[in-house]
Amino acid sequence: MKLPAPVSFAAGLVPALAAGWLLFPHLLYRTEAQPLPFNHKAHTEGGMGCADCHAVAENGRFAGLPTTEACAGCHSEKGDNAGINALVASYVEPGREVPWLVHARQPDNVYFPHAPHVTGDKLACARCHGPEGESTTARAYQVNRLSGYSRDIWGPSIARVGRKEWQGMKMSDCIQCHRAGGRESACLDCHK
Amino acid sequence: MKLELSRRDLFLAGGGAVAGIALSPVPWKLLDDLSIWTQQPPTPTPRPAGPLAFRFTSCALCPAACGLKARCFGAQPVGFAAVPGHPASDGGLCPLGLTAHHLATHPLRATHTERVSGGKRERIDRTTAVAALSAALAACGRDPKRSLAVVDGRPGRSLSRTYRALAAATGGFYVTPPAAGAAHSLEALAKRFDGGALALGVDFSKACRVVSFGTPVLTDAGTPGLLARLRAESRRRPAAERIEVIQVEATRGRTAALADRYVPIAPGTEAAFALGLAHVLLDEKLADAAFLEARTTGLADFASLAARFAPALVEQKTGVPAGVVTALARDLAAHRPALVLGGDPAAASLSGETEAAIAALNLLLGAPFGALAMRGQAPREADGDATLAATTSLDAFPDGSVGLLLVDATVAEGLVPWERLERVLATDALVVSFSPFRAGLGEKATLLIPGPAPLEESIELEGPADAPFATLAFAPALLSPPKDLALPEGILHDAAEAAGLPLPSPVAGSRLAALLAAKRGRLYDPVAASFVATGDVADTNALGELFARGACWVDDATTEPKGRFALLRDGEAPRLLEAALGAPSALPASLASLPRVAVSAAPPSLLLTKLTRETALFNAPAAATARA
Repeated sequence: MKLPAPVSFAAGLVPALAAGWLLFPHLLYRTEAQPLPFNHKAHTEGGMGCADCHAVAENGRFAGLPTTEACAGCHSEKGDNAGINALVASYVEPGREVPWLVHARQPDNVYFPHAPHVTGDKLACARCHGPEGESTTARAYQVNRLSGYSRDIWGPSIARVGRKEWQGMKMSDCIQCHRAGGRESACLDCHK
Repeated sequence: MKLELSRRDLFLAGGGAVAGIALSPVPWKLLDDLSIWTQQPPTPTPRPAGPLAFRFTSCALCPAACGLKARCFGAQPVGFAAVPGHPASDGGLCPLGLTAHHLATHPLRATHTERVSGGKRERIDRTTAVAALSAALAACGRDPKRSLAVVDGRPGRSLSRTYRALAAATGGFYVTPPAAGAAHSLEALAKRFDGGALALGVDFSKACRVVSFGTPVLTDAGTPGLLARLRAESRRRPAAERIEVIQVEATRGRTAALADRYVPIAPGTEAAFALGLAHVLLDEKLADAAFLEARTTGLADFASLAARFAPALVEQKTGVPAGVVTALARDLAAHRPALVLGGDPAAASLSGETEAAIAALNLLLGAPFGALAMRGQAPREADGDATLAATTSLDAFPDGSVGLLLVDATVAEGLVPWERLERVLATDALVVSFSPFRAGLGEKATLLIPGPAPLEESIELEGPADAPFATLAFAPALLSPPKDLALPEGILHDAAEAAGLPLPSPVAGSRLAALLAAKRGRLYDPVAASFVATGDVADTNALGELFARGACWVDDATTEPKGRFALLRDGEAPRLLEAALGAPSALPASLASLPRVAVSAAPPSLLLTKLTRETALFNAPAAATARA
């Protein structure tokens, strides 16, 4: 019996679509585990705000991730929590910084200043970082094997369809927000 | 029942697979991710560390000497901004200046002494370089047919004094690039003044219309960042008060693309076009009659000459429609102050006749002592007892007569073409460049002794010759040079000593003392954003401290001199008539090209070249189309 032409065509089309939409994203991104488990929610429920650990310094520079010394201010001794015990044993006691894998890290040719966004325009942290403060575990870091960028730069959806406004940190996302706010700027404002 | 798979089925399945891949994210996601591989590594500036700080200096990349506000992390500048109120640039800055901090890590940066032999570059040590230079200097002293020539792009510095002393000691020549572009045409206008020596500069802040005959006023000539800023700012004012740039040029260069109006013209017919504008101004009594009456001579002769250039004839000669000529002349008269500039720093100078026509047009519009301001010169220390060579031009010595050519790092190939230098070289001449880059004239050197890159040394910067006021800055360094960099001045002193040639020791602070002694002008302190009178500065130490903070000295306004300008000089009318009625040139004076950097000796930043190549940074705005 001969196969109908649409069936033959579909025999190629369907696996290719499946490979493109399902397999390709898995192959494209490599997953790396964070060095420690981290529960943002446990901290924010205790009354802490983002700026208590991720501060903008007086000179306008974003302090980024908290140092181990800052963590040790509360977690200097081991206890019941395996994550805290690992922090104390591996980083606080030896005096090492935690090598967190930063989801929002931009490429080296971009300088993103937090000060004009957070201090100047009073943007909420969640506007770009999403509900990170409600997470109960440190998400695994997914890195694009080709570009070396974090998956958060592109956003979780490979089609970039139905994204929330904080999902994706590509240049086009920056431009879209700047245009919407009437803040169009020149290339060299961000690319140094 | 048995399935029969034919070749047709395989083709159909293959087609389906291709369609499936095309309809999946694979193609566009791969394209997006792989595009990063097209970027030019490495990152222009290293990722910095250290506290945030703002420091001030001046840009040394071209003669404009614009003020720079550097945003630094630790010692590393990561970005620049213009300095509002700065006497040289008043908040203007061009893309070159914005990327000045990339140049120290440019891939073409040279940090070691190199000798080029048989097309091969060989790294040599300082001792070998000094020995080679010393031998060449000694040979210059012995053989008058193999003289020394020094080309200096920024005369007046301490290093310039060493160059001049060296040239004098060997009987050689000290050469500076000639006044080019708009500066040349301003000089031509000043020579028509009978009230004594006159230096003119362009005050764009007082102009409403700028007609440029090929001068790249928005990209390469004068202080382009300042004009661009003033023009952008004026767009917020009523239409009658806006600054408009009208570019009259044979080819659509970058300034033409950025100008408010572009008037394409047949090459070599600028004089006819200028006389056509003069015809309309005089015929319709639109010229500045009061200025002409009080400040010019030869109006009747010039009017009879201009009368021959009716717009219809100008259209025939230049290709510009008569209506455009008439409309432009009326527009200039209605939007005074207007001024006219001519010449491209990177191209051959305009003919004397064209400059005469441009000068006359400026006089008809009453531009002198308004938008064309009288200016002085920054005070300099006296030459003292040292024997220093006078400044000469490349035309002063015959072809094939130079055995040793020293090219300073500040000499831009756009202003002193290599072809011109090559002609004066004797066989086996040694060409020494102090450029920190294997680019431009640095690439042509047979002995490269790289000096500090931009921002790596404190440098004495006078503003451009066509600025409305004399300015002077001792731009502080923002970066540290590589540890083993051999500084040109030290090498020159050592080589001269080895060749038995005496050189005067540099006198530190002598120019500061000269500036204080002159008791002229004011100092702009960018940290305090305020001016200090030079007379109020206590001593040279205090003055040095101000300059170390990025201060800039600016001269006082000069009193308007008495005297008159000649609209036509003796015997000029027939020559002007002949030139204006002559046939157009076969080729344009300068070819349109990709974005170029004519007046800077440094290569542009990689980021800048990428942006200019891959974005619309320099593409024409909609308003810049020809209105012919």
